[in-house]
Amino acid sequence: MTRHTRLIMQMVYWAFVLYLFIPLSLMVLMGFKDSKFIGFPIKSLTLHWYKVVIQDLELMSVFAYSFTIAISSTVLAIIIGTWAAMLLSQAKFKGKIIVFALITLPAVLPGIISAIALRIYSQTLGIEPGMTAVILGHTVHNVPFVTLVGMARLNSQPMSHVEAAQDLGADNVISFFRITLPYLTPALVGAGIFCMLTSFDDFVRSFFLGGYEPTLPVYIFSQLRTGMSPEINAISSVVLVITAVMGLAAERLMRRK
Amino acid sequence: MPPQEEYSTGSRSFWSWLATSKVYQSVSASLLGTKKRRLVLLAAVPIIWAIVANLGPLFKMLDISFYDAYPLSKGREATYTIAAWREFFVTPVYYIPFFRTLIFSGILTFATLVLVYPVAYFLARHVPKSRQMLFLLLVLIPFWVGEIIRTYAIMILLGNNGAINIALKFLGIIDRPIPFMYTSFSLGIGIVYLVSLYMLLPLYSALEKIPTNMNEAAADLGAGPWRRFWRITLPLSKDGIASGCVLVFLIATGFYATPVILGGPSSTMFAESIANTFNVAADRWPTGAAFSSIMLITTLTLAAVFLKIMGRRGKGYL
Amino acid sequence: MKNATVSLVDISKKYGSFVAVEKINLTIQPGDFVTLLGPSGCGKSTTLRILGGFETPTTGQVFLGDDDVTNIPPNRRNVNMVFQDYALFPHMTCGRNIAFGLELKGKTKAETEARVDELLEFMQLTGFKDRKPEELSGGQRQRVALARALAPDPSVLLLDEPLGALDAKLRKQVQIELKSIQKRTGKTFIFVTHDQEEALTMSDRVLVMNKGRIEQAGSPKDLYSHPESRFVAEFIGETNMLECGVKGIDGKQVVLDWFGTELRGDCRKGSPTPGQKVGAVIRPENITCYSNKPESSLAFELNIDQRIFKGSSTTFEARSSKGQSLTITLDSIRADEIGTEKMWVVLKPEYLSILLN
Repeated sequence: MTRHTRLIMQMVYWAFVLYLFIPLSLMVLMGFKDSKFIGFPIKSLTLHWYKVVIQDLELMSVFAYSFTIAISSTVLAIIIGTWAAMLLSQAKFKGKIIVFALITLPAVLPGIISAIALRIYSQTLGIEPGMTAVILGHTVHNVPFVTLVGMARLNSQPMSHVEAAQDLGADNVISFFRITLPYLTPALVGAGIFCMLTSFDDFVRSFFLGGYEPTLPVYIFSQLRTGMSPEINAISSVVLVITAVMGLAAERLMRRK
Repeated sequence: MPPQEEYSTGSRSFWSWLATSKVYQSVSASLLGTKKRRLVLLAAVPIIWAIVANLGPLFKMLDISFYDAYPLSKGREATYTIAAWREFFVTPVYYIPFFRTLIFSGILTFATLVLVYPVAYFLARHVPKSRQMLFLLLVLIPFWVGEIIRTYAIMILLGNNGAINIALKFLGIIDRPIPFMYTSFSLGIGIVYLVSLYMLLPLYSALEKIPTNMNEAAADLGAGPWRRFWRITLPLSKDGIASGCVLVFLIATGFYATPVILGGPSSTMFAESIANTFNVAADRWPTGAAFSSIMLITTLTLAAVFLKIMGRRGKGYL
Repeated sequence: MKNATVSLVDISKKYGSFVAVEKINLTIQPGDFVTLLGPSGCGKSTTLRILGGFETPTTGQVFLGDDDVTNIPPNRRNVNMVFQDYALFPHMTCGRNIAFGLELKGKTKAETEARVDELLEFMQLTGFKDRKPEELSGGQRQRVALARALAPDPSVLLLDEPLGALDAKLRKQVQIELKSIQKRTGKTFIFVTHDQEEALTMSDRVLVMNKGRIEQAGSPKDLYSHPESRFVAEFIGETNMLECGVKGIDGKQVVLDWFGTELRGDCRKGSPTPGQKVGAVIRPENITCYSNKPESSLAFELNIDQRIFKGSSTTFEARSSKGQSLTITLDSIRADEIGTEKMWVVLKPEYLSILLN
């Protein structure tokens, strides 16, 4: 490529970065604005909306509810996803491709369809909309991701490590817990953080599977329908910061050798 | 095989205790004794999960779509009917949003490809290897934030008193705000904002794999920059394009909250039509189930056809 | 644990249509250092993995002492393995690595600690107990792997090319160490390598494998001086392979014709018939040379093509006008007695092996 096209591409990249960051930066900025009205001009800045958010007990309970769901669904997804990764990367059997496709199926389902199908399914199973249904919904959505991350990590584990453990007297269960699991741990912690973020941020499943108690995105959505407010900016900014920090930590863990 | 040893007394580590406990040994021998049993133990949970949790909901949805009513009142049996499916094909209020969703998502997919391709190319081919991760992370971070928050951020950007209108007014280009919001435009901007990562990553990994010497060899043979791009880079990144487009298309068709927040009456998406059958307390679930089934079958078929055209075999989706 | 005789009976291993190991029969005496030697893909590693329990043979049985262990998984087999990449557990210290097998044998903490310390000392690794494998050199890792495999006191130790990752100089040193460890522990070692020098240096017995079969088994000396097939002759050491015709049988000796020169030698395997084409093998250093015509009916004259001084020995490339050519190695002191142009050689019957295949 010529210098010219290279320069253009570089500009496209930075324009893309701006496209990604400007809306979020504006959102954060508006959270500090000393007025109930979202928009320009900004006259002065304040921390008032953050105080309002912290003192809002309802919001705090929504936060806690979302967090409980995120933790529970992540733990379940890690157990099932790791199990699936072990099956797909360590065992040899016919129809592996089909099992892989079935396990990772939720990753390619359009969100609304996944949510509706789970809503109907939980109803037929007698699970009323509420925490259990949301946790299961998020687990279904997160298992493929854990499986893929787990498989990638397992593929880099030398076969001889497991063989050596078995040679020294470990059965498959002991060799999994003492050798393979420690090897997988950094990747699983990283995947777990992303699962928590996904669950915490998920709207469509939480909305259709949830009962009267909203998760945070559902709460923000219902607030938005009545109009914008600087409080939403403040909450969103807090979530943004937490997300970025956790995401960076997870990224580090998953890429570590 | 090993002779029954007498274990000496004394404190043992947990694993030592476990491995020599009679109960564990017999459980281990019966569960892990043969290759077949080990495979069954390893396969049981994931396969049952895949069937019960991944396939189950889809089949149940298909099943309910043929009911005459659901949820059923006590003591009432459902009868099978194709009424819910018929409803779709005869009601313009339903099939228009459906086709709008497909076309709109298709256009957005193409727009995302055109926008993101240079970004991915720049990242993979022009940023030094040691700094690629940093440049990639910079664009990754915004995508970790959830759908609702990012949609809200777009609202702030495009509102009548949003940054763009204020900027345009300040520059004297306009005197009164342009109503970006609640149109296909705002929805398009929002969806591209939400999905571009799913285009970027497959493209980046495909472009990164192309050896640099390939281009040098072509240059050596006298191919100009554009010719090199059309004849070498583009074909070699075909797999990335295929995966990226399929992912973006499937995700774009599935948004519910974003169209509700950013879209307007003229840009109602099919997801809203589906959701409306659940919002009201009426027994319209079979209709919603039928709509979802129609959408699932159509999107997956389109994706499969697209992958076939792009010359990818059906192994895996990513 | 007492050493046990290891036997493989009619072992075959097939992967689809590919035969990795074909009908192997083999008995290994307790306390022997036995090497499976062969080029890559000859089935030596598969055989070792069958012994370790990592592969189940398609047919045949594996015995450890009197027990049939064919279907016993590795964790319940009293056999331990040193892996090619050592397979040290990266998240555990050396001490924990060595203790791993002991714990699973139900040893108490005190017993485990004592045995770990004993092995660390035995392997001259005292002080490395709390180090992680990544902090050790290649040679040290290799010793930790050996200690870990020896710790549970197996009846047989399997070694899968454990010296492959070491550099040439260290390798020589470790060969000697390994042999001495084997002597001191008195354990049966079954060693796999593709390096013939390694095999000859360390082993009591060498099994040369090719295409899934055992070509020949014997002491290093036996294999070297009396190869029974062309493959073995050419795989081990340097050799002269002479294409001859059989002239006749004279008692125990076979009389050969090599480009018109009469040679005599033993045929240890099979019975040649007159007129048959055979190969005759003689090692370069087993050829007797003279500067003048000696008193022997077997002597013939060669022209010296090349003379390569190698320090303690000197190698000659010599050929005759009839088309005969030989590589000859002499002590450098003896080589000085040979002239620059011509030499007389005798191929003594006791050094000449005749191969039918």
